Amino acid sequence: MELAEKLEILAAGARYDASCATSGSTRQGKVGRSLPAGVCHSFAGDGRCVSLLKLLYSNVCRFDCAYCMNRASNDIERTSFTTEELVRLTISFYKRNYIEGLFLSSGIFADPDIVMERLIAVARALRVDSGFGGYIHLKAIPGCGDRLLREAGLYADRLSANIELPNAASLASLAPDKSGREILGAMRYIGESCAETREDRKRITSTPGFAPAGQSTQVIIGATPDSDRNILGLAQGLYGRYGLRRVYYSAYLPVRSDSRLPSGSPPLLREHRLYQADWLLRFYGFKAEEILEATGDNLASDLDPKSSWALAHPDFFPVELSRASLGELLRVPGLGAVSARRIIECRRAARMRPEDLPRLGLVMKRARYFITLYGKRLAGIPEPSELRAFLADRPPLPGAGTGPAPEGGWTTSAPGAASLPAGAGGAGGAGGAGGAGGAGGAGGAGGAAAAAAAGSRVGRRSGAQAAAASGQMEFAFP
Amino acid sequence: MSGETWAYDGSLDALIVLVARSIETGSWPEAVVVEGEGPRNLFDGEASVAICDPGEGAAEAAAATVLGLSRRLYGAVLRAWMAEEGVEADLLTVAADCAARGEVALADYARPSLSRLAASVRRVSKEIHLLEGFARFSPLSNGRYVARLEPVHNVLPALAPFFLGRFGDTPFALVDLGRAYALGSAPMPPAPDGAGEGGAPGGPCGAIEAAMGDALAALEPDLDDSEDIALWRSYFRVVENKSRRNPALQRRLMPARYWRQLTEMGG
Repeated sequence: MELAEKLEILAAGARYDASCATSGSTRQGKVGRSLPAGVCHSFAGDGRCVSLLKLLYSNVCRFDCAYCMNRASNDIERTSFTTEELVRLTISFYKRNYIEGLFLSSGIFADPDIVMERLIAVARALRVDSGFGGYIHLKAIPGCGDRLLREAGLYADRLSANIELPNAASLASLAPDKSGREILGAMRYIGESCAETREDRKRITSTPGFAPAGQSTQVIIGATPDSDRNILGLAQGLYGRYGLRRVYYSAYLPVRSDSRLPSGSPPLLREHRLYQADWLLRFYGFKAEEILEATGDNLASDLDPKSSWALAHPDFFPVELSRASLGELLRVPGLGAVSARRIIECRRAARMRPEDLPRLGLVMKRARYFITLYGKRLAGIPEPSELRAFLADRPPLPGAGTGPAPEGGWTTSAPGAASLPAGAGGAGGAGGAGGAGGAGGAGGAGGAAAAAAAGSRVGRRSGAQAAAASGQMEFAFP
Repeated sequence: MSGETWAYDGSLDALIVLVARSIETGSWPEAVVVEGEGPRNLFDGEASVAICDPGEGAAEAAAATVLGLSRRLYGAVLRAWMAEEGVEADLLTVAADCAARGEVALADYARPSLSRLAASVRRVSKEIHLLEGFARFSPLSNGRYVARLEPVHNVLPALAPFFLGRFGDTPFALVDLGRAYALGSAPMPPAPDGAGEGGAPGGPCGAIEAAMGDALAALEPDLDDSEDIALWRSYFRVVENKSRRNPALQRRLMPARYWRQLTEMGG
């Protein structure tokens, strides 16, 4: 089969994986490098970022997961790449700046150890033989040996094992070949190895890195009747217990008719709300229980989760801008991390006036109902029902709402591994939240050494001064 | 506010000298004119301060003054210069304010001058970040990879070091089609008369050099790389999930003004 044909088949097989992050790693190779802030190289017609060459090694699969287009019972053309083909595509696309690196997954075409070995062989060929320093995201194949996960982590920037569904019953129903215990076991090993490596490197800086960008996972939304409470509880547990960097939520896209699966359009709005809630968990100091406190088992479809929380906690407001803490500012609907930091910075510089707030770049549409400035309200307080209408956002995406809540969920609270089913609500694990702010901003662009340049204005610039400027470019305004 | 007009030759060196002057004297002009960009001439006597070709020593001393006050202000100078949006008067106002009050002045967004300057700096930062992803390189027969760009702002000086790290040992060049110059890894093609400016071979900037004029012809595509282009276009088409189609979001995240340079969008 021609390379072009393989590329089409094996890219189509991988396109349902939502992970696209390229941040969190620092690596310099002979060809390419990874940087702490990610780079988006393109955006597909569905609006999703294209930053990694996202491919399957093979779409031959023993498993018969109902939601997956690569399932064993699906009558599609099957093929596999060779290591050389994947290295050639990655290096060629990377040098053209089409991609930031490689995301490599695979169907389970053989014993998990063999599949994992093939993925590692590609990563090894890129890193060792080609000196590739770009980003590599490898799938951790659940059930493979710890030794292989250890080796994968030496070459990969990020590893991921997809949990797919939030509880044992759902997995047994739709993906009977998969083992939740094995998936969580892989996550636990990766999480512990990342933590150990971080500690070791504090003492011995030459300690080999292990998946410096950590691990992520993906949950399918809407294929089963699992509630948002189940899903967010799971996410919170995974962040807290296994140190995951990201949980991705992927609205279920029907790939065939099956009595176990819903039909119709994907629940994109629900996916959007879950990402908003996930952001609150990771960067805004919320807990899953707080986020869902006012709405029951599922997030409201007409309100973002922070607005829902704010409406249920009128006693928390108004927040006084001139003296509120960062944590308090982050609870105000409409104020993001950047806005909150700007407020704190600006109030140190001068006494703020209401007319200054838009100059800070603050969007006051929602925030104005929840703040005061030196004791003065910035908007009248409407009736609760009116306020809800003011805060409601037009659904930015097409898609359905939420489904009814089932029982049970994965629990990550057991020390060691992965106990499956577990009765209560799925909110196992320690608190999530925390996390560093920083929405990977406009990356630095290094030195103006380059400004040794020519061209209209550039040409009059001296080389020595350009060198003096080197390294200063990141000192810009937030 | 001094009510004066200051002028400079459009170079970063001269702008930094002006900024240092604002810092040292605590004064700033009402307007700044750039040689060749307005009806006035630098040497017609209208400008009370005019800086042209300040020389390496003066530029270095000025840079040390600005950096000594605030590295953040220095970053703003670089980006304000790249912006080419006429925010120099705001920059000098902010510099004088920063000299008087310290770095806290750089957080006083309520001041219109800082607000305008910060907005301009953010636009430049955004374009740099976008082009780190959207620049598309093609190989030449001599092994150099070349990207041909039409940036809104003069951002090549910020992009070149980024791609120097990314390309490692592989030679590359960035061509600004609108401003008619290129930056890339040394040695860049020399101009026919041998004259070089800025980062000429052996100059202090080492790995990055400039090319312009007739030398740009050596950076024109000369290789048929249609196979890899076809592979990428095919990949880009396949990865879209049709049931999630959202062209408005695609346009918002990938502004149409960059599509001409994007292989996958037909560029």
